[in-house]
Amino acid sequence: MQSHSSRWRLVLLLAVFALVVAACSSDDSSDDETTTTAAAETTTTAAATDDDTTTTTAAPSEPVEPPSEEGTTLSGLTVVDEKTFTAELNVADPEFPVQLAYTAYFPLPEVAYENTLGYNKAPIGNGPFMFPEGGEWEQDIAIDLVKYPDYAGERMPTIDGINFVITADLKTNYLEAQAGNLDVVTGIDPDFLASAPTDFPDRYATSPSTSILYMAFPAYLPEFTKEHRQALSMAIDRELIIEKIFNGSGDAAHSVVPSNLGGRSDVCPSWNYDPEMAKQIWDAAGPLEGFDVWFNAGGGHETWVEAVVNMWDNTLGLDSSTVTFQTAEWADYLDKADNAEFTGPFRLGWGQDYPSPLNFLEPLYASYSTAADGGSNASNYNNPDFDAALAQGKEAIAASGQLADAIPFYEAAEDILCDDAQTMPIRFGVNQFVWNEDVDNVYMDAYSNVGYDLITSQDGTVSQDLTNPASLFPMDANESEGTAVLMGNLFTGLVQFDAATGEPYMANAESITSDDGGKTWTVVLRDGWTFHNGEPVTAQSYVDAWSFGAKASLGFQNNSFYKKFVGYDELNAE
Amino acid sequence: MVLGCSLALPLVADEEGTDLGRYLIRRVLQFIPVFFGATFLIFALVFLMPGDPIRALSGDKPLAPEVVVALQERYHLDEPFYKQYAIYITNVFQGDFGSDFRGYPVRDLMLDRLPVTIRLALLAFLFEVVIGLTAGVVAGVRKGKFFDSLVLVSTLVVIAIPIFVLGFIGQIVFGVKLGWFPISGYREGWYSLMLPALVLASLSLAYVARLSRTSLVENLRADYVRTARAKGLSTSRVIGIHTLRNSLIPVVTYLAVDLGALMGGAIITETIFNLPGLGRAVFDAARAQEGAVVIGIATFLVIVYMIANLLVDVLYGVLDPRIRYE
Repeated sequence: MQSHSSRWRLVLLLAVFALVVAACSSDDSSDDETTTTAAAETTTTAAATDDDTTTTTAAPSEPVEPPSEEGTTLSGLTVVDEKTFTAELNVADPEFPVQLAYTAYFPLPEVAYENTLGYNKAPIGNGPFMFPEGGEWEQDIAIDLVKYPDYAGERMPTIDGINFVITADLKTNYLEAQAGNLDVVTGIDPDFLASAPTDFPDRYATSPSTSILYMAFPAYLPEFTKEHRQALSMAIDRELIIEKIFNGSGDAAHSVVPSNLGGRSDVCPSWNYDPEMAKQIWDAAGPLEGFDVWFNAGGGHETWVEAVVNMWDNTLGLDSSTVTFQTAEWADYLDKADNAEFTGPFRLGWGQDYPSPLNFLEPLYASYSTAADGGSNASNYNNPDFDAALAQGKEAIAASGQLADAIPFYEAAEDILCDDAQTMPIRFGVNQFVWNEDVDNVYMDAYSNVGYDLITSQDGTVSQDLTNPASLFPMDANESEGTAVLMGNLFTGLVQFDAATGEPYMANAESITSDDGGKTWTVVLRDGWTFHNGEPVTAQSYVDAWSFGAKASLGFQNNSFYKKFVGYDELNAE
Repeated sequence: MVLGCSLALPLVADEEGTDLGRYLIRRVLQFIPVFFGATFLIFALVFLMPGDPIRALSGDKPLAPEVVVALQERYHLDEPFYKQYAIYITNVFQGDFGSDFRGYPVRDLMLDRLPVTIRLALLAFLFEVVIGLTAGVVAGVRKGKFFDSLVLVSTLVVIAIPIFVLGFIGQIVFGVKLGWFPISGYREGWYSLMLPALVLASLSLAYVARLSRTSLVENLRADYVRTARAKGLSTSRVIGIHTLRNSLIPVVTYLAVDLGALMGGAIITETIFNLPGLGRAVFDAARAQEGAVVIGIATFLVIVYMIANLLVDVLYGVLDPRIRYE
């Protein structure tokens, strides 16, 4: 008995000792921490190869087979020579070149495949800025970049470095800017909007961000007839919502295509405020009460959704007490969108992937863009006329190579969408930003990125706020966190957009051409480009990177961007 | 770390070692069911959260179905609940707390964040003890005088104001206007923790001041104090040795439990002041439904609470010898 209890005592003392050691050792200096991290990585990797059942480590930390081996590249991508490759698409897409500015289409150096977790902490790119020797992503603290002296791009920045300060609170960012600690602040807390122009005289600006906020009706709920939808949409005074709820920030949306992409203000009556007409149509359509309105919780949507319902109450006589607000956390909300589980109109947003009206029409409303197809048509809108108009527009570009030739067809598609009133555009977003006297020439583009090729700074560096990124791996970086500005400076894609004008231009690519209407594209790279480690940027760098991202088993977020290439299914077949 | 290290102190200091030793062992044994119960509950809560965390990763654009399947397999999200829990607990006992959605081990994340949170909590605790106790004791001794009223009113104000407002005011006054402290960030180490620690401590500080004042005032009326005075002891000895020791028991209870709260409750403070600590990590993880991170950090905090509680119970005996461990 005695020996039994003393053994227990020993075990417990050991346990306590272990706890104490664990607690004490956690306070080590940062140098030691990095070594533990490295050691832990190797051990988990080793465990993963030893015994498959115990591993919980992400697949990318395991050694990855070199992508250039037979059968591991997308068969639609072919290297012609050092500087040339061709890309074959499943479906002809005349707008392919402008899509290539996205992070998913950046090239990777060889070292990226050797240790993806390590690479993710300090990615080596081909862009104008790079991590300094020994520098890495300090989680939730900062990412400091310096100029890459051998950058081959035409638009060499004049500044020597960017300090991204990772922050989590908009108010704090603003105070830091006021105290002169942040040179550029890329978002302003609503509480400071009124005082920003006086706090930062001549150093406050807005620019269109080409994001749209909308509310849509599920097509799988037949009780919302076309007349009901039109009346509900017409009863919304979008200007008043912008003024009262959004403190005047943003633009009232009377189209789904933003104005800087040729969006019109008078698409059709459904998307304009007309209380009398709304009431007339509503009364003729018969009563519709007791439905749900959906928005995701914690996104700050309560107030404007409530305002919309109150407008329905005031204008249509719809008893707002019969409307039930339904909320869900973001993850749950997206599930409901994908599985067609909304029980009434729901709110969603959209930010452009590439500057074309098509990007605001096809992924959101084409019948072949439902969640099952990998698209974002959450309302399951299905109108063959709309699809046909889009197809005609694409054919028109393919035939002439001019976006302008497609515009009439895209506008026709938008007219159909408006008349059906399946969706109610509410607001176009704007970038609101302030900067300090130290810097000048500050522009924010439609992707909410600061134009670092244009900006000037007296002390040579610029600091800006940044949300902690989910990943710095181009195949895994998600644009919705504002990471794009960081990625766009570490990497330069084939195509880029001018931050001041929004015009696309050839960056790493010399030319991107197609002879068959957008099915097969030939990409020719510019000479003399190298990655930050000196490795030349070749056609192979792009083909390998895209093939790597296309492997579904690696679980990259941007995986769906490679679906358009021939060979995606074969690559993921085994 | 000091927390863990000081645990050894009572073991050595106590004269009746066997009683205390047995008591400690029993208490530490109780950690085991609490540990399993707490992790199970937290795991169940995270599991029950509606929605698919994998889906939430990608925002507006849905992930390719192939990727969803791959990620669900990688994080065992396709397994039934009990199996997920079993896998998790098995891995924890092998020192593997799983990995976050970026592929990094949660263990490293916790070790990375822990020093910041511990420093912040300790500094806040220091403010709480030094300022709170001093104010409370002085107010208690000078009951009804100006200082007493000042403490009562100012602590009431602090208790009434939410912490994010205090943080914001602190940033504007001490950061922007006076420029004494950094507004946010962790680039200046301990110095950049001063303001957040003061804000974090403010609420507890007010409680400690009020608690110690009340307790002291009450004890000063006790018979043994009158006896001590009648013996001709000096006022400082009466208050400093006799009264204070008795008055501190409720305060110590509060302080120890509060140390756990300071470590776990720094979410808002860490977010406002851009501190890369555990609170901010667990907040982000909860939003993204990163089960492994939430459970890892929450489990750690459970352990901190348990140790803090144990410490209190041991300290009782030091303060009041009448208390026996059985």
